[in-house]
Order: sequence, then C-alpha cells, then structure tokens
Amino acid sequence: MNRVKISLDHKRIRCLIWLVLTLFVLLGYSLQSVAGTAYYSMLMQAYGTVSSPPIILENGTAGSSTIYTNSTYAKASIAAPAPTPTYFPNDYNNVTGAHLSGSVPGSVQTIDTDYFVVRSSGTATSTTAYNPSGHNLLGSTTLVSGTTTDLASNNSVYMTFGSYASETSSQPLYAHNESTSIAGTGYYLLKLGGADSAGTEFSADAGSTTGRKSIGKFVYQLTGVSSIPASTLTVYYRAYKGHQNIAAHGDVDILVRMSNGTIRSTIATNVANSSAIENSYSTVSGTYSWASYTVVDQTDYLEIDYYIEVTAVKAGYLVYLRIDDSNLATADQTRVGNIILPSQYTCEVEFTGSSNTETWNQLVWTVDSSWTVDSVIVTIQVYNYTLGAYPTSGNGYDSYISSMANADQARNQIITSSPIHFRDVSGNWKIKAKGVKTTATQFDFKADWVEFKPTHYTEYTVSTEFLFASMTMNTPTQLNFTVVTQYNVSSVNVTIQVWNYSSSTFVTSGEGYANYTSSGSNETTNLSINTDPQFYSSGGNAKIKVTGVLKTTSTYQQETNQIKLVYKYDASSTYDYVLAVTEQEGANWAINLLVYANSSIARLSNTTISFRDGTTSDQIIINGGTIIQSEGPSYNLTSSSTIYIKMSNLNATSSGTSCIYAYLKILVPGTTTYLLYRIEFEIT
Amino acid sequence: MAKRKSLDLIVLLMISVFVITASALVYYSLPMVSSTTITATVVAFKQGADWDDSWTMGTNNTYCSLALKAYPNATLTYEEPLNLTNTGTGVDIRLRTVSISPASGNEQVSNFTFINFTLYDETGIFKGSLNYTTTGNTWSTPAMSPTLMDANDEWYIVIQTKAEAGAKAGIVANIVIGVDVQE
Repeated sequence: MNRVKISLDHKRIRCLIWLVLTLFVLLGYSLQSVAGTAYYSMLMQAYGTVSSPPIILENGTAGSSTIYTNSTYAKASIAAPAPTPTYFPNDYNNVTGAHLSGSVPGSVQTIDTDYFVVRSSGTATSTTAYNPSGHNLLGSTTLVSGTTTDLASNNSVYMTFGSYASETSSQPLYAHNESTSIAGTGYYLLKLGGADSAGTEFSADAGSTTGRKSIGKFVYQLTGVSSIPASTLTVYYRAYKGHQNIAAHGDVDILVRMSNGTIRSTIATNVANSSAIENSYSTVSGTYSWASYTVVDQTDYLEIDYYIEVTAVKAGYLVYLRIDDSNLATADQTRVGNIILPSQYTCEVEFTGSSNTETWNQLVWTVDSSWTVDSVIVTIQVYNYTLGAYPTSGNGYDSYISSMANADQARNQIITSSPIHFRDVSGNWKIKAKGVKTTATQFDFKADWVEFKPTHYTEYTVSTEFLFASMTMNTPTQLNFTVVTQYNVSSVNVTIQVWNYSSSTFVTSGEGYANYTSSGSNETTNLSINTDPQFYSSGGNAKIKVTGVLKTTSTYQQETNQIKLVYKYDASSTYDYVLAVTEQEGANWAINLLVYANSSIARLSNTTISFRDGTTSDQIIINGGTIIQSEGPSYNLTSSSTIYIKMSNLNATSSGTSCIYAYLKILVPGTTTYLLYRIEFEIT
Repeated sequence: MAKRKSLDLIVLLMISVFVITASALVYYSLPMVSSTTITATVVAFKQGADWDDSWTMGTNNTYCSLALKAYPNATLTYEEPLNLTNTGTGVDIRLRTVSISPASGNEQVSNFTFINFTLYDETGIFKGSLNYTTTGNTWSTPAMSPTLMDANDEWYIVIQTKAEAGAKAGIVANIVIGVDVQE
C-alpha cells in the first residue's frame, strides 16, 4: 500500500512538471503577442485656407511684362545690346514662275556661283488667226466650187468638194415611170429604190408584124460612179401577151448616153433575152454578162432600152410590160439586177496654211461646214508634226455625225498641251476633213470657215518672295536689305519690294522699293529703311519680293545670289523698372530672388537683376555666360511699400533669346516660412 | 462476486475519468495579474521654430491643430512648424490620413494644388511624407510606411501648400493626420 502511494506521487510529480512547462509556453506566447501590437496614435489637424497673396507683382515701365492671374507669376521681356544681327531668308514663295534649282538660305548667303534659280512664266499673250492658203484633194474627192479665200470667214460662202464612191455592191435598178429629159428627149428613170406608184403599163402591137417592139427607154445618171465592174446582169420583165397564139420575149439594148443626148458607147444590143412571155402577167428574165466599164464622164447616163420581140402575131392583140407597180413584190417588178454600183461615198480634203513660229501656249482650231446629205460620219484632224501623223484621238482630233443636210456646224478644239506639235519649224500646218456615208448617192462637203488660231506669250514674268523668320523681335531702328541677282537675258525690268506689315502690301515707292533694268551679272541693290522700320518686320518675320518682267516670247531665268537683311535696333543696357513688387497685407517681409532654371544664357556677357527702392540690392548676376550669383541677399519689403526689379549691365555677344527662371522668395520675418513666386526674365 | 466487484470498479473508474475529462474541456483558468499605470507617451508633438501662436497644442502634446494658408499660384513653405520628439526607446512611427474635407468630388477641392506634409530627422534626412495633390475635384490618397525613430530623436515636419491660379479665397481644406507610434 505504501509502494502504491509512492508510485502515485511520482506520476503526479511528472504530470505537474508537464503542466507547468505548458503554462510557461502559453504564457510566454501570450505576452509576446501583446507586446507586438501595442501602439498609440496622436492626431494632427491642419486647416489649409486659400488666402489672398500678401504681395503682388505688377508691370514695370521698362521692357514688356506680363502679369498672370493673382499677380503671383510674371514674365518680363527686355532687349540686351548685341552685335547687329544679319539674317538670310529661310523660305521662299514663287509668286510667278517655277523654281529650278538652289535653296534658301544656302544659295543666297554669299555671293558665289551658287544661285537660287527661278524660271519665268508667260504673263501676256498675243493671238493670231490663220486661214488655209491651200488644199489637197484626197482620194477621188473633187473640187466642185470655191477657193480657199472662201474659208476665211463664217459667211455661208463655201468651198465645195464632191465625194467619191469608196465602196460598191450589187444593186438593182428599178424601172420607174418618172422621167427626165436628155437633150430634149424624154426618158424614164432607173432608180435604186423599188416601185413607188400604182404602176404603168406599156404595150406594143403584136397583131400585124413580128420583130422587136420598143417598149421604153430608161436611164440612170452615173454621178459619183467612176466605173461599173463586170457582173452578170439579170433583166426582169413584168409582161404578158394579149393572146395565146402570140409568141414573144423580152430583151434590151444597153448603152451609155452623154448628157448632150449623143451616144457615148453602145454596150450591147438585143441581149438578156427572156423566156417566153405568157398570156397573163408574169415576171420573166434574161441575163447579160456585163464587162467592166470605166465611166468617162459622170454626167453620162447608163441607158437600158426595153423591147418585146414578137415572133408570132395574132391580129388585133398587143404585148404588155408593166413598171413601177408598188403593189408587186420587188422580186416581181421590172428591173435590172446585180449591177455593181457605189454603196458608200467619201469626201476627204486637206487644208494647208502657215503661221508664226512663236512658242505657243494655246491653239484653237475651228471648222465650220455642212454636207449636202445628213448623217455623214465626219472626222477632222490637225496634223501633229511631232507625231508625224494625223492624231486618231485627243488633241487635234474630232469626230461627229453631221446633222441635217446643208446645215452648217462649227467644230473647234482648244489645245493647251504642247500646241507647237501642230506646226512645223516653219509654221506650216494642215487640217484634214473627211466625211463618209453609206449611201448610193453622191454628196458634197461645203467648207465655210477654217481657222487655225495659235496664242503665244509676249511677256514673261518671274516673281519670288524671300521670307525671313525667327529674327529678333526687338523694334528695329533700321533695316538694310541687300539683293544680288541677275537674269540670263538682258533688259529685264526688275522691281524689288519689301513687305509693309502695317499696310499689308508690298511698297511701291520710297524706302523698301527699287526698280531698274537689268544689264549685267550679280547686280546689287541695297534698300535701307529708316522711316518706320518697325512696319517692315513683325513677330520676327520679314519678306522681300524680287520681280522681273520682260516683253519676250520665250522664257528666261531669275538667278539670285544673295538676299540679306541687317537688322538694327536699340537696346539699353539698363532697365530700372522692369517689374514692381507691392506689399498689400500690411506686414513686413524679407524678400530675395533665386534662380531655379535658365536657357541660352551663354550669349549673355553681363546681366544683373536687382531690387531697387532708393537703395539697390543685386540679386542675380550673370557674367561671361555664367550665373555667378544665383540667389540674392534678403531685402526688406516693408508694409504697404513697393519696390522695383531692375535689370542692368546688360550685354549680349550675339542675337538670340535667353531666359532666366527665378523665384521671388518672400520670407515671413522671424520665421523660416516663405512664399515662392515665379518670375521669367526673357532677354532678347 | 469477485467479478462483480471488478466490474463495479471499472465502471466507477470510467465515470471518474469521464467526470475529470468533462470538467477539463469546459474551462480551465490561468491566473494573470495586470496593473495599469498612467504614463506619458514617449513620442509627442513639439512646437517648431515657426510655430504660430494662433495654433493649438493639446494637453500632453498628443494633439495639435494648425491653421495654414495656401496662396494661388505660389508655393508657401512652412519650414519648421511642428516637431516630433521621442523621449523613450526607438519606435516605429508613420503619418496616416484620418480624414480630409472637403472630400473628393466636392468642387472646392479643385481650388488647391497640393498640401504636403514631409517628415525629416534632425539631420535633414527625409523620413516620409503625405502629399495631398488634386486632380480636378479629387484628392490623391497618400500613405506612408512606418519608419524607425530612434530614442531621443527630434524630427521636424515641413508643410508646403499651393492653391490653383484663380483659387477662391476663404476655401478651407481640413486634413486630420494620425501619427501612429508603435512601441
């Protein structure tokens, strides 16, 4: 029992030991966590109130200055003495003419062999109208009437040309009952068109004698027909016999009769015998082998004499031939088939003339004409000597279909592209007119007016504006322009003008204006403007115009060697009142200036920026292009007082614009609290 | 009989174990003795060289109220308006935005360009900042990471203000900043 107790005590001791260790671990962890997150916070409350500035910046009386909103920011611009700058144009404008070579300012800075070259343009013209002095008949075109003098004006007095057969085809000639008279003898007509009347019936006796009975003589005038090619003619007869016992057939005589009635040529006699004529109307035919015939005179007539030859008679009866009956089909009508006659006519004539040999800038050609038939396909062409041919489209080409017969139509064309291509070196020119129509009827071309009117320049001008930019904006006291220029021809009327920004015009007299006649190379013109020179530059810009004018028919060149502007202006070395600093809160302050940035100050040999109010406090000092004092000493600005910012000892080594960016530091006396106002000092 | 006793003993033992176990799971109690003593904070505000007499420093220097100005288109710098001192051991401190009014979205916000609070140690080394800048009617939301302030250090806060050109005079921005001190 005692052993048990002892044993239990040992176990309890071990448990207690573990329990104590566990409590230590938990307690230690707990303490550590509490220590890591303990903090406290103190509050700072700040009220920021927008307040009116206690001190303001104001414009001074020297230079120019800008005060921005709230008068806490200012920009002051003043000019520093510097060597007189010389400028060259850095742009140009071709008012008249075209730039050929050279550049600005590169070519116009020094007098050398590098020129700024501009080619002149035509500015005045002369126009001369020419009419044909000759003509050429093309193809088999014939001159009907008139001369080229009739072509000089649009007066309905014509030069007339006859067309020729340009195509032929097989055609029938129908017997018509219309007639014509040849040398007092009447003849019926052969026409290309079919019957156009109720018909006419011819008859001959078949009751007493046999033999060829003349029925009718028909003619077709050979106007426009130069030949009739060989073919097999078929002669159709619309005929019948009065009694069945009669035996008869048709045949013809073929001849060419002159317009005076005499026979020029007997082609054939008693040919184209038909089959037997029946005792009721029918169309019978016979053929004849036509040999080629050359027309001797187109006033001649082709004559077909119709016969019915009776070989068996019947007393009291006749034989008949019917013509021009529109009630019949054309295949049944009396006619001569397969005769080769013209189916298309053409008229083609070339008009020639002469002109001047100037450098044309425009050509206007005109053809006023008519045709004796309508709907002729007309082509008008002006010969292109460069092309070596009549053009088939574009300049020098026109095509149209004529309107009504004998109605004049004026056709013209304005050529501005290379018009000199339409004449040779001697000034010769030619215009061709051609009319074609598919027709069996010959027609005429009636030319009323043909004109060839070139225009050429009689005056050439070259005008160039040279533009200066980015110059000093200081008010000039004198502007001296130098222009060195020449022309590749002599006696050019040269005008040099400076732009007046006040009147917005180039000056036409007095200073800034020069006029002379060119006579040599590199002629120098100096224009010195002393009166109101500020009118001749604006915002750093200026411009001068050089104009050459010459009465000539060919172009020339303006060659400019130098354009220079010497820009003089006054610049003081001291500006006492550039800006004002005014206290308006009724407190005393300590102020000073300090630089926080700058640009292009290397050109400033000297500059001092100071406060002045009876006494002077130098704040910023520049010497030799370097800021040697960037922050000034404290200066007392007393209650309700005004002091000034002064710029003095100004001097620059070259023209340009320098900037000093500074703060006006306003310190509340007795504290380190301060205000910063921005001030830009621009020194041109 | 002997079996019966044995069973009774086992049951009694199991009940005893159950009672003991159940009691232990419900709770146990650890004794902890705490005592709370009112002591001064080791970090506190201190009036700077540029402290304005119109400003308020709270009791024990754990609260202050500063009335600042902001001039249009000009930067106003309070070089040493307020200091922080640490009279204890080294602690981490940070500046933290508590509140700002007018809040973003209010058109009055656009009258301000910035209100910056910058913390420097006594040697002039930058330690952190809260810069409140505006974009239109919206304030930025600055934050600062904790930084160690050694024992016996005295840091200073620089405040810069600027109002927009043309800002309306009298517009007020109220910024409450907490200076968190972690011991």
